Amino acid sequence: MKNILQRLLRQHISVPQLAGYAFAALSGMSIIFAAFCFRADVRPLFAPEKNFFGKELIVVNKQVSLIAAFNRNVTNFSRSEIEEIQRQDFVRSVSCFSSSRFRVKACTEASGQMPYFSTDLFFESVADRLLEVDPAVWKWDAESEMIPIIIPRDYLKLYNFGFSGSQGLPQLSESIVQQVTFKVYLTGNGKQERFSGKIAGFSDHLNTILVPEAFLTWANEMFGDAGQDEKISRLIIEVKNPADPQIAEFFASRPNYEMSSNKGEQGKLSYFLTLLIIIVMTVGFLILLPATGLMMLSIHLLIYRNRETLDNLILLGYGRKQLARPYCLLVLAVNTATGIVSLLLAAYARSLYAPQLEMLGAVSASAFRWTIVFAVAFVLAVTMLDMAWIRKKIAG
Amino acid sequence: MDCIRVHHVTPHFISDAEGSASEIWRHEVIFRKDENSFISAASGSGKTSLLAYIFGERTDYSGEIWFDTREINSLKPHEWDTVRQYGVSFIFQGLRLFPGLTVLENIAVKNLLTGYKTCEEILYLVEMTGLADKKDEKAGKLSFGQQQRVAIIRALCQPFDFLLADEPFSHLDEANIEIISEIITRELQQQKAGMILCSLGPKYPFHYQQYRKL
Repeated sequence: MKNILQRLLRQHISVPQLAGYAFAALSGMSIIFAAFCFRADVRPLFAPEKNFFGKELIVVNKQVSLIAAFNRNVTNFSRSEIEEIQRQDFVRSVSCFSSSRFRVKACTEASGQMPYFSTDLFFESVADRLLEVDPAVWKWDAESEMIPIIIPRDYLKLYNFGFSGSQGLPQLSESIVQQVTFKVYLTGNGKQERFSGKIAGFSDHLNTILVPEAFLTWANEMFGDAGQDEKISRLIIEVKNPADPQIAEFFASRPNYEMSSNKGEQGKLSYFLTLLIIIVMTVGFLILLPATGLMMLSIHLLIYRNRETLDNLILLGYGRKQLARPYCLLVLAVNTATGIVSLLLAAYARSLYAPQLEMLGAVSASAFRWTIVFAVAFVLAVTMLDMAWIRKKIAG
Repeated sequence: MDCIRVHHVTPHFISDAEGSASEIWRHEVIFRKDENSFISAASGSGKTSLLAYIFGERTDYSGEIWFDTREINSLKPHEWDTVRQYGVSFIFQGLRLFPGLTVLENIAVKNLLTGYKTCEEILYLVEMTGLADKKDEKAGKLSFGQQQRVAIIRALCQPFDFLLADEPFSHLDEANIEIISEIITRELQQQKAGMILCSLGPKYPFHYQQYRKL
């Protein structure tokens, strides 16, 4: 007797329509879940390595061409060009490199492992907040004689694998170089002063010699040629999301800009992979969308055919919520079953690609857990949409 | 609910000339609980409409209808559910049975909602109205008169302050009218409820406190 209401309301249910929906939704959901799971699995492959330079930073300069050899201004950025970059959606902030406006000469004292070495140098600085470096190491004040310096790792490689061998000099490890103190002479503005320098670290993607911002500001005031106005030839762009495809699009449309970021080739790969996953997910959604439409149409027809029954039940005192419940339960059951089978299919797909990824050291243990969370949220969202539609149709 | 007040109500489909002789349209009429009212109506004068307005089924009228201090257009859907479960019951002229359900199932649809009558009470009513041997038959297979009896029993399976009856006995014979009138009268007394009965002609064996011509 209890199921009289269900019997009344479930008249006219079209099994072929429901099966059609379930099949289409199954295809769409499996693709979406598998793509989600794959993305979560390969994520560790593209995690940036620890570096001084934050992963959201991109360095931009202009290409040096034949004309630039005669006219330096060609490689400088104008105000309007900087503002244009600032206006882009992917940009959080744009800052410049400050350069030294004085002469720098550095030399080592020949001792033990360290060969005598003397060179002209230049310094640059960027805002300290952009560098992920220990503030205890990266500090300078007017009293301290010691200047911490970051040099490109490539300089050391150039010395170790190119220079030292040909000159019969010893190879140097990073830790040895970091222990060495050398003399730094600053000359300019009619003054000369001696400081000590120390390598505080190495950078992979920032092709310059960095000193703390506070030091360079002070030194430029002290030794700088006041008449020289600052030319901006390189910019640091802090981006919101390094994988944002707009970044690549923007630089593709400006071929004379050169960018380098921490991500390098990996960044491009990550970009293409993300693009690929987005395409696959879009295909999944394109299948799911008409499936959801089919479900809604099916609900619409079902309620339309049962309209008289529903109206009679409402006149007998049945609440709309009560009348919607059997339909909601039906939709929940179909969607849950579809979601579970889709997850199983995604798990099967994962078992196929996992061995290959394991060789690359990717497969993340939590990836499938996240996929389950995503799937539950996804199925719930689709079900809520259907339920809202049912309530609307029954009330109407 | 103690009274239903019909205040200057006119259906949209009735013109001024048509409704001029009516004692309900454009008048103030009060139906009280524990009073029976008889509304005689010519065909097409809007008796089914009047009951449909009171029951919240249709709203194509001007004027106001009040349940005590509440204007019924301000009732929300869930409040109407409560009215239809506990306040007002309706014997529809069109019956509104479910043809695919049996006699007992049709009655149970209402009683499951209200839990008002026991199984024995329902079976007694089915027997009294001569439907005992039809109780497991599909309602759609019964004659209109038999279906009418099912609809009446179903309408009694709930607590109410008012019973609306729209031509309830149109297809019943004298003997059945006698029995069912008695059953209804007893129910009205038990529930201390009032009835509004609309009919084209016959007044049926009830005791009325109010007569109105539509």
